Amino acid sequence: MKPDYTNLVKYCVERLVDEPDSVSVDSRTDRSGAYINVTVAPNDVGKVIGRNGRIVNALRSLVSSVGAKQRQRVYVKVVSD
Amino acid sequence: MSESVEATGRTLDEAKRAAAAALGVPPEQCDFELLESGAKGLFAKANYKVRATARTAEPADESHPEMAAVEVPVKTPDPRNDGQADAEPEPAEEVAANDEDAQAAAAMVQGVFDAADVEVDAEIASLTGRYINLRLTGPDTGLFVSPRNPVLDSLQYLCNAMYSRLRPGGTRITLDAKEYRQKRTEALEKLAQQVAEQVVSRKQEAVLDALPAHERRIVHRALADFEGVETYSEGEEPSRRVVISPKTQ
Repeated sequence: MKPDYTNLVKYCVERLVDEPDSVSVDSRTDRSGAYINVTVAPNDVGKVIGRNGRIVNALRSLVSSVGAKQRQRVYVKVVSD
Repeated sequence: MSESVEATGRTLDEAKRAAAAALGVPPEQCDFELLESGAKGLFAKANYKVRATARTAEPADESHPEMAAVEVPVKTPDPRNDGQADAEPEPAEEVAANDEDAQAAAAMVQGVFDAADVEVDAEIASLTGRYINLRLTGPDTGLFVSPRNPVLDSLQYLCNAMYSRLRPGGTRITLDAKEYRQKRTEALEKLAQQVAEQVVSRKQEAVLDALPAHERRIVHRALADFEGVETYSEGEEPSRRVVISPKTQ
């Protein structure tokens, strides 16, 4: 069973940015865990990361809790450039 | 010449006493005019504001010279006490969440759980002022709540970040699950009392562990009426801590 973290991340990120249409999320899974890459419009990067990374860390914490159910580590990265 | 001052207090009586003390006259010799009363807000330290005018013709200062000379501890909001700072900056006018806000909030939060494909339901528990209190239930709720686990706080922060874009206007979401908040509040109040008692008996200030803003507020509130201690916060988020110190003077 493979949970779909991309859906969750997409849902949240789209609601944080000015340009939801530019949001794309892709993921890759290997034995060490799931890697989620988030790409947003350049102007929206700060909105996803938040002050001191608070928003992206909250998102990581949420995604990790969902991942814990599958005993899987999940890494979320906001791609810039 | 009648001097007048303004003062605030948690109760009307306290405000009057503070105003009278600032004038250096006994409260019986003052006329009071109520300027503001019952200011709402979770952390309202100054609920009443009065203007006091010394009534008697004879200069009060001469009948009570010592009162004017002594620095009377007027209970005005202490700028050092950041109770206000811990509270969200209050919007200019009173914001109250309505049913429509609550429905939108519940639907948005539910969307998070649906997108994650976990079995958690978000339901509206209550509306208190600008806060929409949501309760999480369902078999997977445990994923997001465990003792001393900040996931619920993270989730709440994230949801508010999304929600403020969805419905700007100052209403906010709080999340609770399995009575976590209530238990936490009780635990924090108990801790605050215990530490405050130690602070008084040892005459030494105590620094609590780092707490999120809404939990610091619980501590500030719990000790607002505690004799002999004052509270403030120091440090930067996310490791901002409440300091309980013996009251000086």
